[in-house]
Amino acid sequence: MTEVILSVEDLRVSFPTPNGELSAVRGVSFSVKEGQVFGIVGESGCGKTVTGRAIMRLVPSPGKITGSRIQYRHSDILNCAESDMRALRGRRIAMVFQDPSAALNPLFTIGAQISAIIRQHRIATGKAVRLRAIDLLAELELPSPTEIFDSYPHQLSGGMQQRVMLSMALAAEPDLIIADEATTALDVTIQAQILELLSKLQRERGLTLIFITHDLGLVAEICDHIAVLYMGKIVEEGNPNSIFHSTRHPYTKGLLAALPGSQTLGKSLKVIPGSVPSSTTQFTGCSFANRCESVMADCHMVEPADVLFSADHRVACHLYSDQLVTGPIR
Amino acid sequence: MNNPSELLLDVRNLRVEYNTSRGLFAESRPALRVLDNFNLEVLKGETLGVVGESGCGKTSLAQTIARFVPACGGEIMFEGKNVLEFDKASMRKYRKDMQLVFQNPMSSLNPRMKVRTIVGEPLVTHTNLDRTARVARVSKLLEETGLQSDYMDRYPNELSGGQAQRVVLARALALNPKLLLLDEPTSALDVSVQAQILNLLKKLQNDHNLTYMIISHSLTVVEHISDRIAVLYLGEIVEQGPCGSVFDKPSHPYTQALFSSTPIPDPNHQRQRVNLIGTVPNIAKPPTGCRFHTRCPEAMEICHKVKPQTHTIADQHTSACHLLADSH
Repeated sequence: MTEVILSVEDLRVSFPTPNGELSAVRGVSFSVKEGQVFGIVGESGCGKTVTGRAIMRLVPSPGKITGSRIQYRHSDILNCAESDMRALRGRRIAMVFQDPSAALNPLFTIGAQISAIIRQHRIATGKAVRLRAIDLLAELELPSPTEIFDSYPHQLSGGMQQRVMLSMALAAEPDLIIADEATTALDVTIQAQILELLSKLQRERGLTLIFITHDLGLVAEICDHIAVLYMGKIVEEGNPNSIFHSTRHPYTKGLLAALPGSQTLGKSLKVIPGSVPSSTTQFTGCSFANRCESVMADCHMVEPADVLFSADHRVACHLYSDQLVTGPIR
Repeated sequence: MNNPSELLLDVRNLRVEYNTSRGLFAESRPALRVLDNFNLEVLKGETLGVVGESGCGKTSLAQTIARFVPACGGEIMFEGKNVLEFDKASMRKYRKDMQLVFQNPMSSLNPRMKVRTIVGEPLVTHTNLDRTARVARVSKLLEETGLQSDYMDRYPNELSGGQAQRVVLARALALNPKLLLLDEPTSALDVSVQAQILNLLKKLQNDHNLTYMIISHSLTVVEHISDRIAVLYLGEIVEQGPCGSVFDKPSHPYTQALFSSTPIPDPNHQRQRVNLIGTVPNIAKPPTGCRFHTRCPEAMEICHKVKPQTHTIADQHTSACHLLADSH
């Protein structure tokens, strides 16, 4: 069996606000295996971005990570020194953000920005830095990489900027990349190109990918394993087939039914009743209980435990609590 | 649909240019021609979906129809009259008949106004209703868009994205328009909220005999809601026709690429992806011949030189591609 590269246990992140504690992540546990494309999917405010940032220890202040454990290979991410974290960030774990035009510094050339990373992590020195950077740009299939090296971000299109972001993420040869809505700002045909490139790189370099997105179509297409987040919790997790074809959790079912497409022609779309509660709400039971169509008395009182349907399919829902063994995916 | 053949909007040979020269003494630069010789028809009671990638001119089209952006040539016929020649009084009437809905509901609402003022404003401008009548109308509009009347006294920041889009729709419906131009109405919304808004749009269309022109980059949204679809590439329609026909038998290589690039939420879906080379060319220097030839996987010699004719694929379904020249 392949090695677990990253394990997250009971991750909790909260932000103090004037209206009380905002719990963005409320106990998320998962593990990512080497070479896997791990998808984290959910709607806005479900905690997917904060989860990604917590792994990099980049939760913006005044956010606090409490009572959790994040292990990357042999490093304890939440308890190591900031200097160790700096050595890890970019070098072993890299992140790609949603909006490349906001993530690139408009005052420096593309070359300067990639070179900074190559120097920082001592991948190359002296004249070799430039060559290395141009190689990277070429690997990301950017046309005329030497020209791109000397261009400024505003001279590039969105798709090219995202390729540059990817080349920066790959500059220090990390083995885990966290892509947070990395293709959301792009047009579909460009998105298709970037996805193709990502999967090629992933195969060739044996990368592990955490793919954070709101797009259910995307996760179905590229992920080996999918976690569905709702209100800062994983409600269902499993391989694409179990998530899309043996869907168990009422929330996942609701999401899939709400998607428009050829099978919904002439029909009205199924809607999840109500709306997402505020993140400052504290729950005693299941956070989906007030919108759930299969709600039972227990749901408002007791937090549902994980129910294992197969070796890699778990659901946090009371509907199945008396049926099967409970426990996390190992 | 009322009478399927009745035209509501007829765009003929439309040309839209943006002046890119800066400063009084700056060297004059050629204008950016976003739409050129553009033709489009919208039938009464139908939903026309307009799809295309960023920069293809879809938003410019809507804004020109609304006369937010001046046209440089051509005609926009609304109920048989040319919108571009409207004087102030006719324009005022036209603005009642046609309403725009934008992508981001939050930025379309004045943060300092309460919902009652926002939705009531068109009534103040265009009708003689007194205060009580206006409040009654606002309350009715909110109810129709699925909001309880206690939302009247909220400010936009107290609304969720979906609620804000409902308020925008309520405002758009205030003057009983005939045509709604919807520019990416659900792009800023989550899937579950998007479903609510799409259902609401269908319901409102049935209740009020509305005609929709819906602009979107999301093919699944367009497929779900539209009767007809027009695919735009660099300011030109490459393919158009009844939704079912275009989705079943996309015949332009760009449409095929667009369809095959859309992720399908089914892990067992077998796709034959048509991958496009490169990115959309700069519209300031559009390619010669067929505008798509620089990225087309099936480009031929002729595509570089000659602009393709429009060929009929099936009933009402047309496509502009040289590949179809022999077979039709």
